Amino acid sequence: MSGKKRQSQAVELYGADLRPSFWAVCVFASLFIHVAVLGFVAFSPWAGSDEQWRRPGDTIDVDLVSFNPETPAPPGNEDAQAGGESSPADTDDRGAPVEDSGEESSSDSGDGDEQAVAVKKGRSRNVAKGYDLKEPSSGDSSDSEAEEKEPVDPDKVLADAVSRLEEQAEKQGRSSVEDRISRLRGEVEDEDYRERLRQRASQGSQGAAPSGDLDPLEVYQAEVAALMKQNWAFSSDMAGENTKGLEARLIIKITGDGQIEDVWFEKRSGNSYLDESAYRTVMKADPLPPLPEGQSQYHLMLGFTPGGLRH
Amino acid sequence: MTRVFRFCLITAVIAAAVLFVPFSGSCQDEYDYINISEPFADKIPMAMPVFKALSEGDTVEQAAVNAYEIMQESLSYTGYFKMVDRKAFLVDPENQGITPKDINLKNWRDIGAELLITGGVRRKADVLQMEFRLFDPYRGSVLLGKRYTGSTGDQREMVLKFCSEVIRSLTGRRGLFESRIAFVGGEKGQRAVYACDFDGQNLVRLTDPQDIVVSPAWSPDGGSLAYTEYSDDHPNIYVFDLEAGQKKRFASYEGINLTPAWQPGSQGLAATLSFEGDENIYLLTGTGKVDKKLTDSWGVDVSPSFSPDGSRMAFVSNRSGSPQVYVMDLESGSVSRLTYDGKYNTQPDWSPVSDKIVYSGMKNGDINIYVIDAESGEKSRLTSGKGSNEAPSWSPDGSMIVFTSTRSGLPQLYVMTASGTDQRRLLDMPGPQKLPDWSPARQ
Repeated sequence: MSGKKRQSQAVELYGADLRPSFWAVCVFASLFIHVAVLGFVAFSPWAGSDEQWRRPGDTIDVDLVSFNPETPAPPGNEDAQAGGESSPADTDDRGAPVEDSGEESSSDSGDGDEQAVAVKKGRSRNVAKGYDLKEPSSGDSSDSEAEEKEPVDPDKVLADAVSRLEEQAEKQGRSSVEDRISRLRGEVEDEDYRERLRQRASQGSQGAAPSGDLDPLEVYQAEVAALMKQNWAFSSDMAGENTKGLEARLIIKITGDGQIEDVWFEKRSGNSYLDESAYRTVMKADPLPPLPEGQSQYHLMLGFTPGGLRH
Repeated sequence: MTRVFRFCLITAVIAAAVLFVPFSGSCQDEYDYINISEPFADKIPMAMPVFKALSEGDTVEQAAVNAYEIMQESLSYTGYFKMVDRKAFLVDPENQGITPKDINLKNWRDIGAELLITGGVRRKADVLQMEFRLFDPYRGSVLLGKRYTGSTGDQREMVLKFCSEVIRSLTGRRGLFESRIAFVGGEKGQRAVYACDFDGQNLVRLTDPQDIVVSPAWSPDGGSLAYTEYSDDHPNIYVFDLEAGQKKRFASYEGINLTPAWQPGSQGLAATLSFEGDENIYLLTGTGKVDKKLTDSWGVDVSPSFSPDGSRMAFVSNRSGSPQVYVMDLESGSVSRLTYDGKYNTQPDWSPVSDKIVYSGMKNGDINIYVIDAESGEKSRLTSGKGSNEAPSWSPDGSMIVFTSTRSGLPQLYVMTASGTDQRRLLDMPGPQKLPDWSPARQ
């Protein structure tokens, strides 16, 4: 009986005196467990790559960009061919030209996000088909690839440019010619700089220690920046509005051998021409030089800001 | 108990917030960032293999060559594109088709062509059929595909229609290739209003030669031109109807009748009249009656030019002692001075698509063309060097500017892009050419 009595006492004590400190312990224990679980979820290696954060799964099959000669031509082309055989229509026809295959694609290009998503998927497939890519193993593949694209002899470029400019000198006036020559000279020097950077980076990727204290990734970034600039053609007149202050931001996923496996917009500029031109620039620069040794993939954010164009 | 429960809830929320805020922030920061701010080229590399003859015969071959040349010249004229040298092509276009299934876009990516145009021409008797396609080699898509049918005489028109579509699909703007340029041409005593296409082709004289002819101005529908001609010993405003080929006296008030400018969205036009003794700008109705007095100052007010929506007007006034460009809000009547630099800023022309105003200004004795933003007042000079550069006028899409320059002696017409690049002569015509006005897009 006494035991029972004590027990009920204890219950009472527990209910009355111990309650505040016990609940405090409970709260902190709960907090600790939550923190631990959330932390585990957030930083665990199984949490998934960032792509899963961004890529909606249901758009995988929409392939707006892949193009190869085997795919059947859009129906409009058949019309165009057929039209040639039938006797040509009367002259009134020219006022209302026949719409051809372009219609669908052009309307699609207005849709920003869906296409960006589709590009991601289509792109990685396209790499295999559309691009005749070099074997990843060859260390200097990017060098020869880039040189194939643009065989540049600085002296010849300069000489050609000078002679061409001299022809125009009468029209344009001497001062502007000199301006342009000095600008071209700057570009050629830039070219040399790019070359040096590339050599340095490829040394790094071949295992030799990079000269100086430069972080191999920083060198790589500089090289990518130079390559992007080299490939970027942007007409501010074509953009229409003043593009100063606008930025098109893309993220590229680079594989160890330098291929751009993925590209998507982190932020669109609001000017569709600028966005397109940034996208094309990335496509033109692909493949990039191999990543520094030890790096199997690398995400890089590229911000295209044409502000430097306007004075 | 509820207090305890609330305490737990708040603690959990705080814990979640503390955990998740830096985590979501790190989504942005986990990428290295590089900035690219200086494009290497300011023209888009475009590849255009020769157009194919799709039916038999020499005349078709010739038509294909003609179409090719017209398109290449017209697209280059915009200053947007750099045509990729044919020698760089990796495939012989002679052996390649023009439809998407015949083209391997990799061949065009590899030479750096960001755009590709293919074309084909067939001909039967006097009927010409042409099909053109615009490809985006990097997106791997056909941006545009069009087929045109017409008589052989309409070839240029058909090619220009496609050029217009190309520019529209790339920039969203249109109108350049459908526009014309009017100007005053001829020696003293033989002056007349002339008109030519946007690229200087199809030059025609519109009015009969006179002693003094100035300031032609296109109506918003492009169907007529207002201009000033000296008759009965004072300058009067005439309107020339292009369809009828006839001029009609529009305004001949006492004193001067000068610098007409049509108001967008109305039938009326603004002009400088002096029948009250002082030169002020008045709004006239479609029949030439005075509708409203717009400016009222002791000085001379001339050269009105309207904003695209017709709600504001730029004009020149010497009310501050020297000719300067002012902007008037037509609703409120408030006037603000726009130009302060230099002692002589005249001939404003308001862009048909934006708030930019081009004008000619004198600085250190040189007359040059400047562009100024009507809102911010930010300005830049577009021309420099030898000779005077005057009387600028915007193309209907706001992408180009026509102006008069004496850089090679006589005043002649030149064109440039809106940022002042690619300056060149518009047309090969003897004698002086002055006061150009670029038409609105043909309806």
